[in-house]
Amino acid sequence: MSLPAAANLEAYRDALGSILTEWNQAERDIKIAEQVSMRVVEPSIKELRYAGRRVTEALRLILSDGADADIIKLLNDADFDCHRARHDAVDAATSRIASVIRAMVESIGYDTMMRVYPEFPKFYHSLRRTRRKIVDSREDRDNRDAIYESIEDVDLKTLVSDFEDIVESEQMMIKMARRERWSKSIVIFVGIIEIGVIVVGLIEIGLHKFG
Amino acid sequence: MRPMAERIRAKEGEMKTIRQFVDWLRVSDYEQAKRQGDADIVSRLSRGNTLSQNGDVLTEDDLQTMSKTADKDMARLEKLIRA
Repeated sequence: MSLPAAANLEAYRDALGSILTEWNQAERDIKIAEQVSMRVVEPSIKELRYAGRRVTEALRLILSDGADADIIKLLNDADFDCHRARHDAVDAATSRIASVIRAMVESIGYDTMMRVYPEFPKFYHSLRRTRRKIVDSREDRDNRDAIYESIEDVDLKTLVSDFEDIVESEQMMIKMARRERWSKSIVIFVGIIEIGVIVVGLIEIGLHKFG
Repeated sequence: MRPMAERIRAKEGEMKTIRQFVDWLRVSDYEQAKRQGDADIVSRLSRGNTLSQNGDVLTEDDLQTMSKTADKDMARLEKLIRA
C-alpha cells in the first residue's frame, strides 16, 4: 500500500475501529446462538455479509479518492449492519428457545418436563426475564444498546447452557410422552369397547323384555 | 351409490385422520412445531435483510412490529404453564 493510501485510511480509523468492535461482538453472539440452532442464525450471518460488502466498497472508494460523504455513509451502514447482526443473534437465540419450549410444553406436557428436568421453573423465569428485557428495549430506544449488552453479558450464556441441558433430555421426554399417549389411547379404546358391550347388552335386554 | 369422486374424497379424509392419529401417537407434532417455529424466526429476521440487500431499509417501527410476533410464544407458554 502506498503512503497516500495509508494516509487516506487514517482519516477513517475511528469508523473502522467501531465496525471492528461491533463485528467481534456480533461474532461472539452468533457463536452462542449457533448452539441453539444453526438455522436461526442465518439472518445474522447475512447481516455481517452485507457489512463486509459495504466495508469493501468503502475501502475501494478510499483508495480511489472517492467522495468523503459516500465513504462515511458506507461505513455507517456497515456499522449498523454489524449492530443489527448482534441484535438479530440475541433475538433469534431467545426466540428459538421460547419456540421450542412452547412446543415441548404443548406436545410433551409440563408434567413430563418437570419429571425429567426439575429445574424447569427456574429456567422458565430466566427466559421470561430475558424476553421481557427485549420487549422493554423496543419501548426504550435510548437504552436499547445497554439492555442488549446486559443480555449478551449475563443472560444469554446461562440461558443457552440451560437450554442445552433440556435438549439433552429431549429424547427421554419424547419417549415418555409417547408412552403416555399410547396408554391414553388404550384406555379410550377399552372404554369404547366396554360402552359398546353395555349398549349391545341393554339392547338385548330391551328386546327380550319388550320384543 | 355415491359417485366415485365423493368416495375418493371420503377415503382421503379417513387416511388423513389415521395419519394424524399415528403422528399424535409418535409425538411427531412436536418436531413439526419445532420446524415451523424455526421457519417463522428465520422469515421474520430475514425480511429486513432482503430489503437491506436491495438498498432499502425497514423502518424501526416495521422491525418492531415483526419482533412482537416472537412474543406470542412466550404469551402462549405463560398460559400453558398457568393452566
